[in-house]
Amino acid sequence: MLRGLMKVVVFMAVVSLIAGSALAQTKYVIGVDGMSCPFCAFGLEKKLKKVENVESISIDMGKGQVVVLAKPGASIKEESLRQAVKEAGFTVSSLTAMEMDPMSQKSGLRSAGDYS
Amino acid sequence: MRRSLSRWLLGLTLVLASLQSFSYAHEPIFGIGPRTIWKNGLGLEIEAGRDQSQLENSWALHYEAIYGITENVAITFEAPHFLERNEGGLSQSGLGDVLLRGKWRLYRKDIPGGVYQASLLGGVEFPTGDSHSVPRLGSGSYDYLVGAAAAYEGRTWLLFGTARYRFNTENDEAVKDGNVFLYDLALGWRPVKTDYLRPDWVLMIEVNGQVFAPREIGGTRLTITKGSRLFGAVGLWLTYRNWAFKPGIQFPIYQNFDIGDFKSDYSAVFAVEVHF
Repeated sequence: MLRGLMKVVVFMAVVSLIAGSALAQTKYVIGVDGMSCPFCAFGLEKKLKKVENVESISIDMGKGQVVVLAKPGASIKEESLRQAVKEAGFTVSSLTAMEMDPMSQKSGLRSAGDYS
Repeated sequence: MRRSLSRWLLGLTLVLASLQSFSYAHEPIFGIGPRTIWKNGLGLEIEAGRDQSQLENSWALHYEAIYGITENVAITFEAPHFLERNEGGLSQSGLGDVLLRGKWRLYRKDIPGGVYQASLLGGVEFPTGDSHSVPRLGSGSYDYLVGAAAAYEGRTWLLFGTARYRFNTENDEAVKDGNVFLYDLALGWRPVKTDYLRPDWVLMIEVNGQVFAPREIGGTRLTITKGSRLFGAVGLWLTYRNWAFKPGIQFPIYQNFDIGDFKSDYSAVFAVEVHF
């Protein structure tokens, strides 16, 4: 009886862990220098969309910033993001990764680094 | 020989066909700029152009493809197709001289919302156009282009400067078009700082200069064919995501030629470009 209960508890814990990690998303905020026109920024969209585990990107010309959202439960190699920006013909001034709270969709700082 | 000579005295517009009109999307409309395309990026352009001078005029479509070898090195293939080229009461149509051009962006300084950059240019024009027709559609010779371009591009203001030199060689009829020095200065103004995925407008004002060395026939320099001219130009860049539309018109400010035929009335272009 006790053994069976233990199995159920472990099973639920594993399911909860998998479900939690599946919903978690990581957001990467990239400061990009050199973005002067929307047409030229198309190369950023092209290059970043090819990076593994990228779900979506949004470009803010005014802030000189690109926000990359990883697929749920996946992470993106920051080096790949930097390489994509370089090959698009721009310069990374900063790169910050934030883990999104799966329940509230708020993001919390996981790691930060200045790569300039 | 007299007919041949008179034929070769004309056709100055042709000499410039590949230099005047082609430009990558965010570049001066009648000049060229230092910008390249991203690594493995491909851009395709079709441009309708009209040239009108006192005794010659043409309607042409120019096809262009640019490919990014790296983010700082690009190659461009350009092919003009004359829909109609009229000169001295005669008319021809067909392929002109195609051009293969390389660009190396050797300097780039990215800043927030802007970029300073400079590039070197080099190209070869192949004798693919018929140089025996009247009027002729090509120079009949391999011609070479070198140059340099520099620019500041910001969110509101853009400034471009270009200098190019075209070396022409002798064709099979012992005719050598005079070498040409071209220089351009262009100012761009973006009235609204548009964001990504919004239509973007930039107004361009340009000054384009051309200095011609005399044409040579059989080693004899025809000094009356030398001269210079300066154009003013206005144009627009209208872009949306990976599409660009560029209308522009160019008009003479100053022209110094002994031969009236060389004096231009105007040039007009409308280009559509898409990047993949």
